[in-house]
Amino acid sequence: MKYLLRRLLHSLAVLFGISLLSFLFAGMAPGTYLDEMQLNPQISPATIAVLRAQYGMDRPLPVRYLRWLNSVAHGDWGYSFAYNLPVAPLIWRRAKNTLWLTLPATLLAWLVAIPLGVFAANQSGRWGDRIAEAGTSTILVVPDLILALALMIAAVHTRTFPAGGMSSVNVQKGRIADIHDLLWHLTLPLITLALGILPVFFRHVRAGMLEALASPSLQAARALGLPPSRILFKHALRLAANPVLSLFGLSMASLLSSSLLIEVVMSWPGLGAMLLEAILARDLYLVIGAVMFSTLLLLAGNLIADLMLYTMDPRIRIGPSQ
Amino acid sequence: MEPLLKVEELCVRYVSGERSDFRALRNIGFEIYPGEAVGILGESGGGKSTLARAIVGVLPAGACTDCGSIRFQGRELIGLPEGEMRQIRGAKISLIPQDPSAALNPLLRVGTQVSEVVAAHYDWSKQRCREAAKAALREAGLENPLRIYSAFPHQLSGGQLQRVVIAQALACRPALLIADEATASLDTTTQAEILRLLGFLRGTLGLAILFISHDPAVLAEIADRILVFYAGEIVEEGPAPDVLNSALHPYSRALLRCFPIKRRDGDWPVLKAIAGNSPDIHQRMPGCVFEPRCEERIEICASHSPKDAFPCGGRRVRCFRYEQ
Repeated sequence: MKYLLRRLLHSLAVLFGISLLSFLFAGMAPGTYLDEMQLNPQISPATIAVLRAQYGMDRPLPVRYLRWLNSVAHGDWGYSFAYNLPVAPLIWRRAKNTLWLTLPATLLAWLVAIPLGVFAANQSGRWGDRIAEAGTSTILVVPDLILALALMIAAVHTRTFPAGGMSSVNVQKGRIADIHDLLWHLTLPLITLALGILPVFFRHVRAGMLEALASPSLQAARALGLPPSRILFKHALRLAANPVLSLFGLSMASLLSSSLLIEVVMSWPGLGAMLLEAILARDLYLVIGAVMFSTLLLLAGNLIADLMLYTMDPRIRIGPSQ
Repeated sequence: MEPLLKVEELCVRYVSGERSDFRALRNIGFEIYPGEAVGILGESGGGKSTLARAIVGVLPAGACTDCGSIRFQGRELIGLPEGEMRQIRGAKISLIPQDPSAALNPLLRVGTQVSEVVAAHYDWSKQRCREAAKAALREAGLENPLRIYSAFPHQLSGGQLQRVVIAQALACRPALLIADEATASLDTTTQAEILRLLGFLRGTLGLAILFISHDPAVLAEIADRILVFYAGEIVEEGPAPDVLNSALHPYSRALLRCFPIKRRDGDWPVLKAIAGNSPDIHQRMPGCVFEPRCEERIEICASHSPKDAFPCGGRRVRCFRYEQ
């Protein structure tokens, strides 16, 4: 329990540190949203001055940071200049779509990578391993963009899947129909994203399994005549879980960045596209909000990984003393 | 009497990997009789562990048995299908690995790791395997087998782990136990306890033991007969007291001079290291393997390989000085 509590406190500290840093860096960046506005001759300097005071942009950085913390406490996470709305609901509306895409894609990638990695490690050096290795390497070297475009061209030609978007325009309303429509739109971006992250997961699982299979404890298990299936699944898979779980935590953090490209190409209304716009428009609080959301994902992923490690590994769960 | 294990002309070579073409064992031949304790003495890198792993058929990746025969209870083990070999290892021939703290899976309970060995060789119910595992833990001298059974490896001491590994090895009542530097990682007191335990189990179970060690003092405790290994060859064989007190081969004598063992006449020997390093045998070189480091070499040693000589009762030595 102490271990998990310590991890949680650690996460909070990281979150706090990231918010400070992103404020500092955003403050150092030249130009603000209001500076852009000044270029517009139709808006009078007086209006801009009013806006500046309204958003607190005339105050020093520490004051703005404290104000922002206050708005975080109220669940607003700052105010977007461009949308004229609190940041939190804005981000959440788009983040939901991103999570709809990335969470199933990650799950799918793991579901394929784990059995494939175990199989390849078990077949190490033989044909099965080579084919799996060559296949995933090929996917790895093909840029995601090409992958996405190829799948879209195939979709357009065969008219099996929509080439973009998240929902149809004229769909009859109803819960079942909605879900069906969402899944139909989800398929292509999901496969593209899953294919993109699969090779990395596969390689980690395979390497982890190979290392486990070569460990002295498994050599001893083999010398005791244990059946190969038991060595593979009961022993090696558990030993390989440690590095793989750590990667799981990190993979949560890359969910946003890895889906950015696919969101843009396949016009999936996710957080990535909005973040891009926000950066270009210098929509300060929206950018910070998105950074914080991505940090939250990373911390949540690592916490989940820690939790799983905690249940998996008796060396963490139970101390050395009895 | 039929030997329990008869090894003849055994050669093991690495055929791939970073040690490719390394000849780990060359023309090994020896016998172990039921209930006998045979010690293998030699410095590290001499091929002792390779021999242990060759007998149970779990050679490291890239190594393979080139030629020779390993007969166990009259049955040839080389070339035996993996499925049949698996039924022998752990059940009829058990291997106690070098480092007990690395030999157990840190993520599984100790009891699980003992009972799974039983389950691998007997078609018993889970409950019965568990009982057999607890009995094996008790037999290995663990005082509180129930507590040990549900403990994880990191909660036990080195001596306790060694006993767990012994319980694993003996749970299925093997006829031959191979202990590969089994006490090297333990402190002297624990080492003596483990040696006493192995001696006791050997007596009660009628177990034959092949005890591999670099330490002549350990072998003096447990072995009836000693084989001296050098660079993948057996250079000397004989009854343990004879080999330890009056070694014949120059290598054995040089090796024994590295350890403080009180001699029969009550004197302590002068300690002396062997000059040079043990060779990496890659190709068949002419001459005796020990020739480059030997202080007693004669002209023929560099050009010809010595054959086994049998100078006196039960002794064997591979050296020109004893060839007639």
